[in-house]
Amino acid sequence: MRLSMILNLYALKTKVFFGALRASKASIALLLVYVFVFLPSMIGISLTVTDAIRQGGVNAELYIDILAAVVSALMAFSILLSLRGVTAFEYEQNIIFTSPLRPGEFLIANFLTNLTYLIIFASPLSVLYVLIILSLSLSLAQAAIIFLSSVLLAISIIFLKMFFSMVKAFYGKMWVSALMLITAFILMFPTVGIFMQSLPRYNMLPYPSSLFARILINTILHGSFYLPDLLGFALFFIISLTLFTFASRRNFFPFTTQIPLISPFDVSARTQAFKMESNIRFFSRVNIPLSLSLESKSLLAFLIKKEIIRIAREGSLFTIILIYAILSVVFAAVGFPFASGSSPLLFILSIYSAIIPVMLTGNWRILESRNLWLPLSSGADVRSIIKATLYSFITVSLGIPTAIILPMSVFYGVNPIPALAILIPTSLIGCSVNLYVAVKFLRKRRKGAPSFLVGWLSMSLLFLLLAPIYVLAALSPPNLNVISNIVAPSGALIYSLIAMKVFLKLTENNVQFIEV
Amino acid sequence: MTPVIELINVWKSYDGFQALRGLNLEVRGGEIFGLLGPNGAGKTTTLKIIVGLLRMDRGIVRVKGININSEPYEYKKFIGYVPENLSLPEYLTIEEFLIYSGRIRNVPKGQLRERLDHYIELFELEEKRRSLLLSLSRGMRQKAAIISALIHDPEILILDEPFVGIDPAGQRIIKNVFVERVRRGGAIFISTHLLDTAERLCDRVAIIYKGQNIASGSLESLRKMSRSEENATLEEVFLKLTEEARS
Repeated sequence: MRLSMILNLYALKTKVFFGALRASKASIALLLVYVFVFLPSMIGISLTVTDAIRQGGVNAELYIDILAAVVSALMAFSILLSLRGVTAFEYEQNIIFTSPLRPGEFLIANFLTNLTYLIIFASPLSVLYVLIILSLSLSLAQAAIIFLSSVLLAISIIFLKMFFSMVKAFYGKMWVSALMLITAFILMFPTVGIFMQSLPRYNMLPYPSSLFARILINTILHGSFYLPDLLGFALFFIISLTLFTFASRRNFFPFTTQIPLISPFDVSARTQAFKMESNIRFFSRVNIPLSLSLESKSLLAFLIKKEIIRIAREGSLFTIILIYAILSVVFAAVGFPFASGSSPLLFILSIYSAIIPVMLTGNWRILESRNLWLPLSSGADVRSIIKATLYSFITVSLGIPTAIILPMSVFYGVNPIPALAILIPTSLIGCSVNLYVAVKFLRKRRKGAPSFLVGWLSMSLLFLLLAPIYVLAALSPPNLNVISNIVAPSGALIYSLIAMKVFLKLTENNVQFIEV
Repeated sequence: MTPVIELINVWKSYDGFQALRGLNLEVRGGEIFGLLGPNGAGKTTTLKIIVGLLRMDRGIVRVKGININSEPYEYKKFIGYVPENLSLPEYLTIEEFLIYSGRIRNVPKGQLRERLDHYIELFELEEKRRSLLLSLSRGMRQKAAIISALIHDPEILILDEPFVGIDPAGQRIIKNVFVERVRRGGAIFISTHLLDTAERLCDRVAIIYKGQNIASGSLESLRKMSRSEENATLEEVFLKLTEEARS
């Protein structure tokens, strides 16, 4: 083993994987967003746990069960990932595997890289650890045990994942997959015991996850742990290490499966387009009976149909249907109470209906802006293409929820106007504003601007424009009268149509100056 | 013969890079014209300016006598374009893509159906007619893009590296199509790095270097210009002229 070789490879792999963070400030922003999104949950969990411990009402067995279930799920997930065999990126196969580097050296570098990924992705967890340690005033020894056992667990899981991947790569038969699936199932089986008292639960079993959970929970609650738990956990670590060492002696280079390199925080247009291609491959199989033919009479109708086909084949249509199907189940569960203009469900509806145009435009920007060379060089009226794009967005973002809400309101005998008075303006203004912002970015030659940044800007502008509609909805009297059913919705509709027309005009003016 | 494409003193810079520095060029009807040059010489920029994908900083470009600055749309009906970095609507099948391409160019439906069937058969894409563009090889996608440029029967074809990824049989078919169109008075404007192809295919070529036309004409005239031997290849002439320009 050559340490310098391993460290060089480790540095290279880390740089490649997190390359996007070095290339763009937007990627760093996305990483921070990732961390901050978890912060409220971490603070919430730590407050709940520490409050319960302080009040002395803690059921240690239940805590062990829950923690062991989470750890088991992680282990089962890593086993499922191993079903792909040993994977390698294209550059690894072409450059590293053809160099004099030994498989063992590659594996160790791979292990160090995996550990680095884990530390970064689990960074929100460290916040939880620190909060619990500080709020319960745990001793340094307790903190060290909690920290060390967690690190050892992470290392063991990585070792096991690599071992299982090797087994799958070398003996890729059905029985190997079956064995791995059974192991994953056994790991998760006691989860059922948490809900059904008759079945064995994690705290009764010598599972690695249970041993870890017992050490952690007992250290936090009682300041000490049982020696058999520690010995059992140490044995698990030694077995994992032995299996990894055994695996690292085999030459697995010819058995690797190539996987695409997608850095998790890579917001570049290239990577987004790559992800979109996978969507097209998947969703084109579940094809809706819609295809582009010569039959459409008007060019506008033809172009709208083409855009709807894109929306269907890149998966947005499915996502929208899924979102509204879930929402309709939630709404049905509470009796579809849309009678009041200020119903909390209207708030949920307004949020989701505002997200749909962001998604539609984001996907259009990723997939279609690259293809603008065709209409722009063909002499076609690009304004009609933009108009068709907007109309297709409105058709989808309005058509699907309306098709769900109208029959439901008839079924529940509820007035649909308050819901439609939110949906229609959000769709009309949302789609036109989002498309305008996207085209403006393209005109400014900022093709590479990450979708989530463009989306935030569009959302802010949208909510600003929708503010009068929300105020109108909140002030409308809940009972069925002329103001809440005719005057206010009509005003909202006229306002939305004017806003849509204005933004469409602005978009049409901008699209002609896009350079590609 | 009157030029169908004319570039007069065209300048273009972007992102702090001066891509074109007073470029002058002309392409005539009834000829295949090759645009040659080392990487970064400004070939793709030139083609993109002509087809309206980039705007020049200054200069004049005329296509069929139409100044593209004063009339930026009308002239495009005369041209068919294939870009170098090919991006196609991959969610469409070949047939859908060609219908889309024809419809946005206002090709009458009857003619569109006829040409679509003709070219799909000619380019041996019948079996893949209803396959998504995403699932096709680079060569097949390139063929689809070339058909898309031909679907409205334009007088001028502007092609950036048109033979990339296409097998020899496919290249032969495409060359025959080009020769046939030129015989009918059309013009083909090709940018390529394949100097042997350019030598066999092009009637005239222009060599550009750092955004300037350093030599243009037939191979004969370029040989004289570069003081090369009588049987010097285009590659030898190209290397000599670009070396002189560099020094």
